[in-house]
Amino acid sequence: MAQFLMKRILMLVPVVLGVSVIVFALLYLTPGDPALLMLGEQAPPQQYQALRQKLGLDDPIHIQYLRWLGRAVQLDLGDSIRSSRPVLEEIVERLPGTAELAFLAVLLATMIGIPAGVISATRPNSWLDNTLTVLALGGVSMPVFWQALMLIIIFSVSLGWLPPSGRLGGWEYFVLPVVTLGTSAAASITRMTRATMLEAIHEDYVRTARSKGLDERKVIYRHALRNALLPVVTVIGLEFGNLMAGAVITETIFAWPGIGRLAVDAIRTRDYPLVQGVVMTFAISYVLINLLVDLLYAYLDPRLRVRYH
Amino acid sequence: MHRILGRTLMAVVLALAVATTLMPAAALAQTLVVAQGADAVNLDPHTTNDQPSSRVRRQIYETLIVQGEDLVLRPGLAVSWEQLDELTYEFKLRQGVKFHNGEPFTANDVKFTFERLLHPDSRADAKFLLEVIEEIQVLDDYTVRIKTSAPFSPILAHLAHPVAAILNEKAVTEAGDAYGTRVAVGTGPFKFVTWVSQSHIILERFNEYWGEPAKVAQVVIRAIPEGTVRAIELETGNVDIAYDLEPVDRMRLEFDPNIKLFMTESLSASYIGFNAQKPPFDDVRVRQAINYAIDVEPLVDVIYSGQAVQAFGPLSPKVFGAHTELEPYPYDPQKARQLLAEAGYPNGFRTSIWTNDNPLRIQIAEVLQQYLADVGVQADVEIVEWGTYLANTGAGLHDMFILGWVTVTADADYGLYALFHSSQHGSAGNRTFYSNPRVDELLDFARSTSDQDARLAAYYEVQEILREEAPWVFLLFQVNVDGTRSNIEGFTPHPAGHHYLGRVSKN
Repeated sequence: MAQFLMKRILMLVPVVLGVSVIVFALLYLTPGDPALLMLGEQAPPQQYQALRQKLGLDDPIHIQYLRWLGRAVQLDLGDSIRSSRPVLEEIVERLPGTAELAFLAVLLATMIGIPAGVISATRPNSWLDNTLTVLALGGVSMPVFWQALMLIIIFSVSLGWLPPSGRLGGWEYFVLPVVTLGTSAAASITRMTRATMLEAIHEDYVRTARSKGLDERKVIYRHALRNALLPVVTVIGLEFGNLMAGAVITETIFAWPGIGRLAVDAIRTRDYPLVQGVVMTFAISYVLINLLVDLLYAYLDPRLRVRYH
Repeated sequence: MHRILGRTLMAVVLALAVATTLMPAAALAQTLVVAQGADAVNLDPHTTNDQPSSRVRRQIYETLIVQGEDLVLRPGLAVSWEQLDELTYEFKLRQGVKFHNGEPFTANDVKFTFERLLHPDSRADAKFLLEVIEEIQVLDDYTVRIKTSAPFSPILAHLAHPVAAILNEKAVTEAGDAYGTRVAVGTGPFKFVTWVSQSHIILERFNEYWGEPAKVAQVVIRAIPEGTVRAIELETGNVDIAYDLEPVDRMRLEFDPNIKLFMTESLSASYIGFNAQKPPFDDVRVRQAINYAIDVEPLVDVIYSGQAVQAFGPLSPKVFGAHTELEPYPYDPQKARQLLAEAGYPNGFRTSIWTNDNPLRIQIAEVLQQYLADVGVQADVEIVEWGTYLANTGAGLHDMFILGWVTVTADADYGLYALFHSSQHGSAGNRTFYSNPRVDELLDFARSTSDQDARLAAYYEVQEILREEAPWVFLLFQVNVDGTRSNIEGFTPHPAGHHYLGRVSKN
């Protein structure tokens, strides 16, 4: 297991390096002079020169990259142009907001998705199955901003039950953003669970379990679901990664403090050090979640552990 | 499975419980909740010059001179001032003023503040506004002399800009890197309490304020990026004041009896610029012809849904020195064709209009294209990426372009010098590459004299020349829309957008 873990962690290095090259190149792939871009139309020339110097834009690109990488390895991602604060500090401040939202959304999605998938699979083509399938399809295809506004209009404006936005108090502020963010994940998990459960139910070991005279609930939950869950875990992991990086719209609409909004603000104001830092964070968190999923996989399925030895 | 479900349920309950206890209790009775479109960036005035930060700083800090909502300059931390010679101003400071950390306000704070702002290492966006200051002399605790490197009469308006807010040396030094994010100390009616990044900033009434104390005990300034959500928060009463409402929401809120709307002409002007050094636009008749060819008023009304008014000149009417009696060019396509023919283009010509990806500007460009086609000018609309746009208009590669300018100091010098003086060609601001020796002379003169009537006369003449020589098509002045609940009293929007909350009360 330790060897497997080491191997997987070492494999992260080239991935993260590759991402860093792309992230750094962002500054140069966009047309125009980065310093001019950041300052806009009302900046006097002396300010422009000062910024060019500060960003080291006069050096060759590879020198700039190595310098940036050298600092990044020491967790120094530079200072935000706009706020003059260290990029890392800005990110660390916002990360928890997104993490808690993504975590609760995945939790909600799992709690809805797995039971719904099992119910669908055990009663294929029943009215219940069909209803759940339609709901899941709707959940996957509904645009987030539309759903968010609808939820606000229904639950905040018409019914007055929940606050429309912000993260100022207790649980009531979490409901709408978590539901918005969790909907599409719940739908994916439902569909994945249904598919893998349908397969598992027709396996020989399920027939054996039934013929032993086991209670149907035990057959479904202990034998079929346990095996069907493996691909579902992958989906949950991927969804979690997506939500970490993809909560931008939800955070913006609900005025939720998080890293997605930080990314949007950074891009809008062309604050390149901050953009680089945020994209790096997205990439690393995605990679780490994938690593976790792989480890979980190995834990759930003993055969995988053996294969890696 | 039941066990797993049970555990997850418990985790959810725990997570929510933790989340609940971590939050501050907001929205108390004597609390004013204000919503703006973005969070402040830094509360140190010597960093960024963004609107959201200025709006918070305005409540915490004060300047020597205050520019009120009517844009008149009045005593602030300075009770009086006097110009001793062309380069020297002497300020008498207010006595008995305290900073939020208990320190008394004296002349040393003024010296410290401006020296910090103008220091070569200073990264203040708006530093250039005060770069003309050469020396600050402390005569005694309450007398300060400011010397400029050249005659510069707009200095008083510049000293009223939020970047010129007075800081306290002890507070800044003690806080170190935390200044501006965890610490911010001024002399204003509210003191800084906490800042939850991207969520809200809490300010509290400063009980030892020298002037009239603030009417509310606490202010919560929230960042709500979505315009519609900001409007909904105002509608549902979770927010008392919402800044920058959008047209679609404004039209709905107009009929809500619980809401008051405020429309304020801002200090920003949008224009179509010609490259006055490049044919055919080096011919004044061509520039005039295009002015005659466009019916600006309906264009502005339709595209901006009433949140802008037609411009009559380069300066918004609120700006000191704006010539409000200039006549806009009438819509006269016949006259336009005639002028084009006189200039040697009886069959028109082919040209391009540049804009960045701002949707409103793109719409303007498209309507413009239609008007120009009517008089035989074929214009291609080119949507240029922002960086390239700024670089290429700065380098003079354009034909026609659409841009805007905000006269942040509300003084004509800021709104004319960089845009029309021939020393400012290119990225410095004069992207039309317009030159006129008389305009240069008048702009230089108005900078050097402190005789306000002489300044006004000079600026009027400049604007008359600009109308006649038409380096721009004057397009529009933007109107800001803010809303409050009907139980809010004493809110007066500031044309520059940094509204003062010290007089606002909640009934």
